[in-house]
Amino acid sequence: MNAGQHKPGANGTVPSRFDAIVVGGGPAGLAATFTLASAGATVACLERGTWSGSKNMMGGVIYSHPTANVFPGFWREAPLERLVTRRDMWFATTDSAIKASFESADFGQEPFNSFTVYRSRFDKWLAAQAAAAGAWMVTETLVEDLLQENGRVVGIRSGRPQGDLEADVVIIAEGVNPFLTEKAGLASCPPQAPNVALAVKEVLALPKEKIEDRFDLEPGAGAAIEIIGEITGGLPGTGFIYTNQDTISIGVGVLLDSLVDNVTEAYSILDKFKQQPQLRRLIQGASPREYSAHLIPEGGYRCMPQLYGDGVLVAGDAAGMVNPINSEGANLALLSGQMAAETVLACRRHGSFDRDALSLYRQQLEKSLIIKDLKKYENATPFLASHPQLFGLYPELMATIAREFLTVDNLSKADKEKLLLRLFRSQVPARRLLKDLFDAWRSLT
Amino acid sequence: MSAEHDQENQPETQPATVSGEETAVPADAGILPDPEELGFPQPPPTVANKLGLVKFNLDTQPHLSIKNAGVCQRRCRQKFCTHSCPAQVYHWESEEKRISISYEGCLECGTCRSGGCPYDNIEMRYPRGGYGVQYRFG
Repeated sequence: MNAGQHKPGANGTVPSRFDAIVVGGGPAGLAATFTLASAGATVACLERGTWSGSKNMMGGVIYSHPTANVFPGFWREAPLERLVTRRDMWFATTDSAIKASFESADFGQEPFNSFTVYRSRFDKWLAAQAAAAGAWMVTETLVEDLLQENGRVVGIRSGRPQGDLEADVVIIAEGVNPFLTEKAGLASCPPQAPNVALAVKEVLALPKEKIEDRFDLEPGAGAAIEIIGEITGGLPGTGFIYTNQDTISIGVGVLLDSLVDNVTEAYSILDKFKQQPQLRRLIQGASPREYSAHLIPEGGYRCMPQLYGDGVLVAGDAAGMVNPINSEGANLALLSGQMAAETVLACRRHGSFDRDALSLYRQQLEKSLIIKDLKKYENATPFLASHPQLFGLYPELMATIAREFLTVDNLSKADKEKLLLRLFRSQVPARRLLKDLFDAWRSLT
Repeated sequence: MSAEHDQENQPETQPATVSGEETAVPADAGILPDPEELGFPQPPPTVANKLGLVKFNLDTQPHLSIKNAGVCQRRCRQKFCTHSCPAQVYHWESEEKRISISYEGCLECGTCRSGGCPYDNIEMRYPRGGYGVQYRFG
């Protein structure tokens, strides 16, 4: 990063007034910062980590289309791990798995679909792009409060000496723990509401060739596997595996409320998950390199904060922009950050950053897939939380049916059908099955 | 306040780097032989061993605290935080009848303020800028 280039102020000191201040150097904040700086606005991005990405974690994949929308052709330069060509879904019990796999040659062609990344390196690259576009990247700086005058946000107070900075508008992209959003009175759900999932993950090192052999991959290609079933201890959640160049990311995400209710540790679930026989085979001999934990905001549309106020906008995880059904979040963060920046640029032309002017942001979000998808799945998290059978009983029954049909013994097929039907009815009365199907249809479509 | 000129620069007051970074394998070290093949068993999957792989920039100021020790003593039977925290930051000291906090190993996820303590009895802030967890992969 070149200091001083395109930068106002003298002697490397940060000016105390900006067109815009962005709080948080993740996908939302960096998309906003990059878009604003590229359009010639003076913008500062404040990040509490030593570098952007040092506090960030996800499964995970980033999707090409939304990323390229902000950072065109990013795949030619950004630090990526593997190009994902295969997406698998497993229904797993403690000793068996039904595996559905989708593989497409299309995913291997420009503009691609998704890549696995390490967020610590990928976000750092995004920050370097924003800096090159002329933004002030201020790291190791925790924003402790918003500066307000007559109910209007006019800047931020950081933890540094003389750390007050002023701006026409502050974009809050602080991530899943919405300290500032709460302080600004914009939050709609209290932090204690049952609206987050806790994800824990391990990065396990394994040689490239072993990864490609075990996952049946072309060199450089990657697999993303999502796993539902008893492996989350029957709690509402999923397991995941992502292949990186020479590591495997493996983890579980479980609704925090159910973990607390069952007095269960997330890392115990992960440890058991790693022992599941079909999974253990994939990670055999891989040695741990890093352990991480992060919350995922899954409150969805119902818990979205007020997205704009006088002199302030909220984007990304801080705004609850996660689609828990499709495991999307970074894409929504990038798009919302870009829209927040475009709103600021539009308001700049009129010289007004009050509530009314900034409501353009909400209008743009409504038109985009962000609010449409969040609205579509607004009942998803309560539905999943109240139907634990989807994560325990149903995958178990699916496996039992598959096992019986594939086991050749002295039972006739007709007897097997009768046996299975009786088992199924004893476990899931017809009325309950219909109700679950109806609830699923109502909540997820 | 100074702009960031070097991404790798340290906080103004240089804190100690803790938690086994010296012994842990650096991110870019490449792939070592499988320890099991060499006859070294994998360490047991304790949280302490997991945290030993994580790099921290230790702050001398705690950023976590219990709001009211009486709630832990009298109301909270399960000591929920000792289970919900993915970094096992909270321990119940049964003799002293209080929760002790190893804030040094905090992964800053926010579980303790988001329902991980059902009594909302934990005050969580982020560590000061530049301190705390530093993911090399993330």
